[in-house]
Amino acid sequence: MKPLVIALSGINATDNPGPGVAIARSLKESGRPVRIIGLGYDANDPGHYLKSWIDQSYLLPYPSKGWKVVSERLQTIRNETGFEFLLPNLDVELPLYIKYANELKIMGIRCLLPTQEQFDLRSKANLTVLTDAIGCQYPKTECAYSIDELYKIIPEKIDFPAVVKGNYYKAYKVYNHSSAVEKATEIAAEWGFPLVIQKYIEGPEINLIGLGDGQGELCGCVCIKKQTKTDLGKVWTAVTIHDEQLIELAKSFCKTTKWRGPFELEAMRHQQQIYLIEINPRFPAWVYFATAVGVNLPDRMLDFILTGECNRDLSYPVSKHLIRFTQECVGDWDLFHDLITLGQQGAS
Amino acid sequence: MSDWQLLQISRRGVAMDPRSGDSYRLNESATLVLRGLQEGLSPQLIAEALSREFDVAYGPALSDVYEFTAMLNSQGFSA
Repeated sequence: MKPLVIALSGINATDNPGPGVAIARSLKESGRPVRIIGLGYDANDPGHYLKSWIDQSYLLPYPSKGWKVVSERLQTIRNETGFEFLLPNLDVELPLYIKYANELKIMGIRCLLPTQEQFDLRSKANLTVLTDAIGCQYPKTECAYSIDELYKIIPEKIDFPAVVKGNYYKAYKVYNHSSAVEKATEIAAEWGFPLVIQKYIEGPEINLIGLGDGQGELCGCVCIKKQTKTDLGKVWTAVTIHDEQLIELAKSFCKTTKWRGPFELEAMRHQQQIYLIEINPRFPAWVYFATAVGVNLPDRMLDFILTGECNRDLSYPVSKHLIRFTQECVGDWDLFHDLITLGQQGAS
Repeated sequence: MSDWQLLQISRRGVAMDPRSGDSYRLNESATLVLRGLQEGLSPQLIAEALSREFDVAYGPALSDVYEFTAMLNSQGFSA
């Protein structure tokens, strides 16, 4: 059987991991013959070198270079590899692919993307409106478009402790002005403004990974409680739980937005209530946890792209435990040279 | 199903609430009591088992069962 050729991004399996490698692993373990093409922005992304899961990889220009540059690169990669499916896994890429979804279709590239309207609805700045509509709490949140504005927001509008977040990535809990300014400056230097300033909600962090069918239904989910996190707030250990309220919230989110594709709900449980703190428009980096407990959402997504249908079983086992670990991958330096000189490696 | 029924007890006597992920370490007698409650046994039958297993008098064992169930209730696990 001829393998399906799938290109995917987010292969930065670093201390701030993207989900690409975990998705590749899920697809490789699905039993379906697949050839995975990794798309990275840096030759140091570990996914380029993880041959068990990623067969071949390429460097891509940043989305900020615009559609012409990106689409030309995608076309070259498609000509060389014959990839038919594209799974963009980074928040910062999605606006471009959503905007040019029709062009991707014309190029013969199949994706499962939310619409621009859906994407905007769950943005950090608009979550107040959406959380009202789907029936949950949202911590008090303000946007800062400069460091000066940050001074006006905390503590006048939002008390300490607060969370300073980038519009796409990174979040830090801060207790005073000097740490707020330090973290805000760090995030803004990397990801720009606006910054999102949010009241910190005390309690356990619970997350849900899900897949929406675009018609209002949830096609699979797994809830976890984060047990321990890294300094960057990334999960280090977690356990699967059955939080009925969070699952109902995911169903309500799919029904209200008619969400199409993968998503993650990040929430805090505080005094019997759920506070939604973020909705990610993609699979989280811990997606393999769901796969390992029997809910292979990347495989379901592929089924959905192929046939318009997929397994919709919402059950999964609870009390399953995740622990991350660090490992070294050693290979020939030529692969790195291939990437920095040719922008690709692993061509057969 | 009562909240007690939902608690999952590991082989090392840690009870986990699958709804919240909260875990509680149980000693051997508490494990026996919780398993008995989950099987639907009466406090009297559980106290008899406790008395046999741990060589304690029936009266104090029954008090322990009631104390344990009261503690479960106070932790939000209703019968």
